[in-house]
Amino acid sequence: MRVLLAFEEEYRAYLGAMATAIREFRSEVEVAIVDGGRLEAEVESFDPQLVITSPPIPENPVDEQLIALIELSPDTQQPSRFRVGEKHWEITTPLGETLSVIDEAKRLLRISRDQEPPTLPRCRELGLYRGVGQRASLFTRLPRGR
Amino acid sequence: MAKKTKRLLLVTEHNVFREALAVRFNQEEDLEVAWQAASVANARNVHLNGIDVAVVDPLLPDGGGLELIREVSVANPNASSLALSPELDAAMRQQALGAGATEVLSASSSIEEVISAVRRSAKAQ
Repeated sequence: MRVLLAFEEEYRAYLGAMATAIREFRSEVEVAIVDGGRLEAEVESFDPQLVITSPPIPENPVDEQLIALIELSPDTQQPSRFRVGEKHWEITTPLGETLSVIDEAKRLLRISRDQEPPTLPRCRELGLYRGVGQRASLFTRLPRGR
Repeated sequence: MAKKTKRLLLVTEHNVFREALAVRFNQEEDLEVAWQAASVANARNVHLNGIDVAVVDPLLPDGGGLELIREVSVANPNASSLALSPELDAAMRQQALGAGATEVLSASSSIEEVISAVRRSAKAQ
């Protein structure tokens, strides 16, 4: 599970602290920090499941690539927006809410991985491997009689 | 193992940022966040004699961050204050120093720089 924190530079100290807090309470989670202006590029390279960013997110949204998104408003008078899977809600945000989003995103990630077609080594194990260079997803149809 | 000697009062409005800072400060063996407050009104309930360093956002919603820094130095001359905010212009820096802050830091600093500033602030007393 990977979490990307993307805020403007003036919140750098808080982001460093948030990364620490996430690692402390969810040690299995990989956390990266990026300047808000580099959000899209970093989503491509880091491939996170959850992004925590300050609103508004960029014009070309990264939302569809993610399991979960938190638009954390630095202004406490404005609500923060949460999405996990198909669920959306708004709230003023205690840290516990962020951790529960991480937990739910992890659960959805696990489910989506369980539903993925078998990996190439698994295809070989099942006797389904048909050629070098073909993707594992090509082997989802089992031969008759198996 | 070093004893946790510096007791911090952490005053900033944003719950997530404040709680995250508390977690990070508490990872340092010589620092302990003893109290947190989201506003000047809440911070005034704290027994200021018990703190070593107050980390205060001067731009608190109820408008008295600078006043709180003054109150800390009056109530407890052994305590020091560090002003930390994402929105610190030159005028606000001067006002924070004038109110008695020993360190004034923008939140664009790294968290390690903030921790170093807390230690410097504590030593300044």
